[in-house]
Amino acid sequence: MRVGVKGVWPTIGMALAAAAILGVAVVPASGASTYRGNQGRTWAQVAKLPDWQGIWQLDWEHNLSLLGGMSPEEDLTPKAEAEYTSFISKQKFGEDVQPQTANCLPPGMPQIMTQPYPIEFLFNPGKVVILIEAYEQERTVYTDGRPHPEASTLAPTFQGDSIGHWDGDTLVVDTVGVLPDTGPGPHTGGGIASGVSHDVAMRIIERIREVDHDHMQITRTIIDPPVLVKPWTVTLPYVREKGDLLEYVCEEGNRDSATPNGRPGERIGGP
Amino acid sequence: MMKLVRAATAGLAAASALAAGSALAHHSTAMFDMRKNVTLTGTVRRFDWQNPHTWIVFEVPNESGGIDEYGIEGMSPNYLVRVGWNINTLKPGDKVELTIHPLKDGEKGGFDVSVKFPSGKVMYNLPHRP
Repeated sequence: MRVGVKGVWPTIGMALAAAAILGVAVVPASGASTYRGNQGRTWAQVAKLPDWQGIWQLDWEHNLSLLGGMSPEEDLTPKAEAEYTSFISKQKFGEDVQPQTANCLPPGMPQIMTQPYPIEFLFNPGKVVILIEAYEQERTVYTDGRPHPEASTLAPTFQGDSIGHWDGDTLVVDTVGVLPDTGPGPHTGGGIASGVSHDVAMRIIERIREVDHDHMQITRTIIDPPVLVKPWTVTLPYVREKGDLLEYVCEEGNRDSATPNGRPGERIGGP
Repeated sequence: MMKLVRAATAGLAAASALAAGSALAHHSTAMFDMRKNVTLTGTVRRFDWQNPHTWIVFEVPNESGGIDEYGIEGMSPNYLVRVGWNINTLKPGDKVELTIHPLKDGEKGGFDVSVKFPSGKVMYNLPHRP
């Protein structure tokens, strides 16, 4: 069931703090932005943006240690810590071992960006589209200067509402309106830590840039005061992958369904 | 053959942890014993080249003279095609050795780790570091 956000985006103050930490222009809460430089709003401007053609894969090989660093467990609020502990203890009894992605529901932001399948960036005037092979997801980042919709009218979605701007050769993306509980963490549960749902008012800021021809970097900050005692920033390395994106229809041959309490829903053994 | 399996196990200890955390993002590996490798010798009856996971129906002769049928899950076609597999890597009738992480519940099934062909060539299914 989708529950809307009440009132205005309550984490804007935190976003401003994060923007300051990141040394970026302030992300506007509303109204037309006045970012300087090429914002890619016409075809002529798009032609002058950095060339990100190709497909990109999170670099697990390079960053095995990152697996341990994918959850900010030391920065959880007491409420989130309790959710995490409860989740881990339930797993010992065979519950919550299967996330809803096992039923082919896509992970939402932020974990849709760290799947073991590549992503691709397409530039159009006023928007950057991020195609995500896993679960055939797509994020549109509007760079035309629009604000987020009013919080009271925005129904949360798996990938949320993303607006962005160019800070030189870096695309800065601001995402709100993400459904809580939309997929697995490192194993199962929320997008911040295993078993922990993010708040409906979570805000994510990504700074995306090409480091060199074969490497891309996304510095991601998650602002979620009910869950995190402070903004959580992690730098995710991506490497160029050969070829093109492929079709990924999860429902095609899924034999791994999960029950509502996270137990395997089907018998795997045998033919 | 056992030597091969041991070598594969060592190389896969880290890889399995990696796979559990990333490559198998679609579902948890809780049902498989990711620390145990079992090698089966038999015949491919079916190879389903489908997302979210490939699937092998594998026939293994048992001690009572019959055939046991195993259901073996593998990585997705999207993953495998990028590490050298294709839809014809396994065909019905192929006689191969399959190394799997077995199901914990004792059912006849598991997760594909690697395939050894009669020529001696080994194709890895899970992420593998030489």
